[in-house]
Amino acid sequence: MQRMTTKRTMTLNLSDEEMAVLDDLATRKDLTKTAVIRQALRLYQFVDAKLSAGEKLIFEDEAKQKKAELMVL
Amino acid sequence: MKRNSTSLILKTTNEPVPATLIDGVTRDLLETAELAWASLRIEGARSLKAAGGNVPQHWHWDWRRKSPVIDFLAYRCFGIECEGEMQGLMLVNTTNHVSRLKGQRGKPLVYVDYIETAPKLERVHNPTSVRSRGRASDGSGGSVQSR
Repeated sequence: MQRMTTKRTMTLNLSDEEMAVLDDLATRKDLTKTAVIRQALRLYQFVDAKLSAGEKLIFEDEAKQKKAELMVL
Repeated sequence: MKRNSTSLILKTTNEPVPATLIDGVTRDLLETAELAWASLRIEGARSLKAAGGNVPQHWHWDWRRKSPVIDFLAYRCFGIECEGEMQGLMLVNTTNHVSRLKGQRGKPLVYVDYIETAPKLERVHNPTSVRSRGRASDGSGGSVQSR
């Protein structure tokens, strides 16, 4: 796959709740909203490829000795 | 793939020589580099073992095996070419790691998954060619994590 180096602009329609989450993440991570969306896309592509290959994504709480598998659509 | 002009230092003259920094190394370039580097690693390992030295731990790497991840947005592969040959490769992950430092906790990190200089630049091959112009690398390769 040839990595695209040119950038394109798109309009993103978000609900108030979604925009609030994006604002919060951008503030906490010290990133622009665009950077948060880019990070999310990178992560989603990576996770989706791993799950499609049969791997599992698991969250572990060592203190409570709990494990939960994340199911992604 | 983006190519930017840069320079390396020619060891014999201590003068800069033109080089190219590649952002977005392709599978073809990885394969070409690996084919050039593999035999030098084996030859170097034999020489080091014969002399009782330690073989660099990363010399079992095969950059062709790392090529599947370069299509992911989460990864970026950089290379530096000089005199028609790849002089170094670096694969970084820009998504899966976050800072643990106080004051930067949770912020994204650029994580260097793999970095290697061309085997011909290793001491065992008596390099007389190039070195980096910026901060010197020890050329040991390996995985580096910033915390």
